[in-house]
Amino acid sequence: MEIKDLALHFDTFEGTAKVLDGVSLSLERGDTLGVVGETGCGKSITAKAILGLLPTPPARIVGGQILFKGEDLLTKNQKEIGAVRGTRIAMIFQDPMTYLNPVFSIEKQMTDVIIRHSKQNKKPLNKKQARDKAVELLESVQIPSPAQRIGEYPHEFSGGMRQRVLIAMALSGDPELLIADEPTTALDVTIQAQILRLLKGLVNRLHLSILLISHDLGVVAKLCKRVAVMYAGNVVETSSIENIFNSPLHPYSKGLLNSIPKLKKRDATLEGIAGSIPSFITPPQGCRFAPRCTEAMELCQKVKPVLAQVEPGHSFACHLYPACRPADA
Amino acid sequence: MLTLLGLITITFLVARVAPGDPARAAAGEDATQEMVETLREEFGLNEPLYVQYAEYIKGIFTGNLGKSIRTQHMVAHDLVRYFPATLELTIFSLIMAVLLGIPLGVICAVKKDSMIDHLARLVSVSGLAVPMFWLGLMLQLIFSLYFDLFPTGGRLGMLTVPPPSVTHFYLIDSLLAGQWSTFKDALSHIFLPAVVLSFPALASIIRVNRSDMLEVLKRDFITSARAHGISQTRIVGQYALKNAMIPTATMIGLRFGWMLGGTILVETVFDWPGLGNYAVQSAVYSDFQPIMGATLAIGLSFMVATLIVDLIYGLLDPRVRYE
Amino acid sequence: MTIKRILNATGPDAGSVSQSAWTQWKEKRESSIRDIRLSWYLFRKSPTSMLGAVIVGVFLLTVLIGPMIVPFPEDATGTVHIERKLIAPNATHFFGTDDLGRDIFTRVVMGTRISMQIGLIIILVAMGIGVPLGITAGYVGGWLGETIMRVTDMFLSIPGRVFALAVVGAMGPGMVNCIIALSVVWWPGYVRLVQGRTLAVREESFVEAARAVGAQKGRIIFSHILPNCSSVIIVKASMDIGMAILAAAGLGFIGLGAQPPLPEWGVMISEGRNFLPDWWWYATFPGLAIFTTVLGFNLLGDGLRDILDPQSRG
Repeated sequence: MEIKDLALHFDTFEGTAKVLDGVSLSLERGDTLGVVGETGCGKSITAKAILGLLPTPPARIVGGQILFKGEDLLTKNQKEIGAVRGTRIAMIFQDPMTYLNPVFSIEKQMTDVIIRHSKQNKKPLNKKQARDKAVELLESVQIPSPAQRIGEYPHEFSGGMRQRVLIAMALSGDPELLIADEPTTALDVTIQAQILRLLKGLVNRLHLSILLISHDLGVVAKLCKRVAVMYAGNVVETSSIENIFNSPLHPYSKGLLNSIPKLKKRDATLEGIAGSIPSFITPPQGCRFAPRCTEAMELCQKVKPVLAQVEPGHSFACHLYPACRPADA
Repeated sequence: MLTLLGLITITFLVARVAPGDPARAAAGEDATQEMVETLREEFGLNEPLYVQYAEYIKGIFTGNLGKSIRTQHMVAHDLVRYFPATLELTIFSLIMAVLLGIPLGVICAVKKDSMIDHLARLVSVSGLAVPMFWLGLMLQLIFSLYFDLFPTGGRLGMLTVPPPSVTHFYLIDSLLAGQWSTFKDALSHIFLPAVVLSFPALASIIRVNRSDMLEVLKRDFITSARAHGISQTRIVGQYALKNAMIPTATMIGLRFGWMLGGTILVETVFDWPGLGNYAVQSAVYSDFQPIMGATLAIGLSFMVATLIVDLIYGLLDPRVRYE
Repeated sequence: MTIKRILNATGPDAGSVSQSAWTQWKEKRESSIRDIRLSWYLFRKSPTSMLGAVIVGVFLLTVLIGPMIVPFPEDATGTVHIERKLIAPNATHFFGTDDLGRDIFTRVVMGTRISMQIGLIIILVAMGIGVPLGITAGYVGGWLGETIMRVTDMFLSIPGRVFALAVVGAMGPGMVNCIIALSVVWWPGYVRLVQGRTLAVREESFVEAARAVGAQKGRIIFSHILPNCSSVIIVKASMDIGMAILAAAGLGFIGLGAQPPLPEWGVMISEGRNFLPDWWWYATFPGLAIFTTVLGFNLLGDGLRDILDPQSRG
């Protein structure tokens, strides 16, 4: 899958927020890409845009493409996108409690999804077959005694188990790509580790591609091979996991890594990045990170840097690297 | 249960504590002091208040609610006679309001700000503002008197014989007895009053259902369901609706209570021989025993309705069930 | 002298003196100005709320100056003009005349005063009883709060109209009794509303903070709890005035409220009932008046709710 220059605006009472400003990402089959950034940088929105899950009155796509196996998802109508959802690309979300319907049993919710996917794949299953498949899926995500528990309601499961249920539901259509939007943020650390291990197992077993969104670089490091750093609606750096930790290039990435508390030195100070994210309604012209950047130059305030490759698999967007100047500057 | 006791107490207090002498009112304007005194004795008004209260409670349990001066029947007897008519009207109206209101509420939520939405919202806003008795008169004016489509009042035409009583609901009884023409007659009589009585409830239901649906549709699990590719119809009709019905159900229960109160006006306009009409006549006459009895009956029905709503609530929301 | 200095100033300093005072004031009030602007924007955006405001405005205007501009002021009560009876609406008698020859338009206009009185008094009394009880129940809690809520529940278990009927039936007809009866019906609603709100506000962290600093109970109630309740109370009150007018008209219709010859709308409709269908105007116009007035208050209340109650904002 490849996202090219995605630009998205959000209409609000106070004006139009230019939330995504030319986001570009790419992902191969079997790849695991993590998208990191602070809250509000647009990573969740990018993820939701892939499956067309944003409410289109306030949100408007104003440019770019989302290519999945050659087809631009943005040009598809409701029906076509419906065919993609769950069967080719699936998504799991942050808070498993609110993302499950509280008044329906797990069985109903899962069989509904399974039956629907089976119809899409032209191999319709009946209720009993769907139930059996659901039990199978629950087993594969390590839910204990699935056959008994399938009739229960979401509030009777613990947080970690609910997330597993959601993962099972997402896998029921045999998708090729799984988008995980902060799947572990609402869970405790020990459960986090379990879920991440589960996801990693799925990548290996099913040759699944995962797009993991998180604000926690540590979580991304555990699961993903590559990472993209986002800031204020732009991708500012993409590289392998090792490179991001060993040799971050973009000033923002450097700042992020510096701000991870290091417990090795006794009197180490907690470092942060000064300033706050810019307004999306009146964003700075030029590089959006410039107001906070310690290495900002005059050029940075006027011209927006584009993503350029430094070495294979490692690109970033900053005027420290001359190739980042747009062609016409 | 405490509420029941409270209900009884309040009805009792209202009648006794209010100014005005029921005995004198009952006796009439040109009664002699002697006659009034006799009546006072008969009503037990000379006893201290707590004795009267005890007598009253005893009366309720033995089915003795006193005697109506106006009709000269036992109040309990009158209540039994008129209650089914009111119940039939209210239930019919409620069903109308729910069957129309819920789908409309859903449609409005889905097609927000469309023509239908605006129209329905207009209806829902007017529904609460329009005086029921006036609406009844206007409908009578237009449909009964000008267009002669519906009768102006009563439960059945003057020449129609009521069907054999099984449930005391003319609509059901006539169907059970296979009397098709009686059924049609009863239907044509109940239609207008039901429309009027259901109007405010319809308005509320549309409104509440619409806003509940809108709220539910914003919730996360809807996004999740969409991400799984579940069809929009199923999302709206099942996933969202079941959740939205939870607060709507409570509203329906409340509306039923309002409807029971509304029968006072509607039955008067349409000469419907029900409890509301009975209560009004008694009130105008200052006949206090029936007033208490009718109030008690209506209050009880409301309580039962609220209980039913609670049960339905449990059916809808599994989280409440085992509490 | 300072003005002269400001006016004479040139260069980069020009206007900076007055500028800073104005900007200072603006900054201080920034959040509340923004709030008011947002509220006005939302209110303006909704045509129904504006309509409601207009209707209520017209209503209030009529209450104030109506009696002074009506064509036939003596018709409000008592007079009889048999020769003018039952004339259809025309240029002199906009709404026609009734069976005693009285101008219906005049009577409807005079009726606004009566309805306003009734509605206002009922709601004020209901608030006067209900709000303090609600705050007490919510804030103090304990057995006192429990008792208050139980009693309130008991009152609420009887449908309002029926209860009012019972009270008026026991007390006898008349406008005063009608007002008393309806006030008794209305106050429990306020208790419930305020108690719930007080309970919620009480748990808020800023109340805890106030208590931690040692603020007195009374001060907490007045400066924290009451302001937070006031928005819901205002919304409810504005809608309730309309509903109270409606309820009073209902009682008037069945003869238990205001009595003839008072030009109360419900009473007029009841009288007009006997003259359907040929003399339809008698019953129609007072009803329209009720409808419009209540509609206005409802729309206004709705609009206020959209502004004042942030929870219902999208």
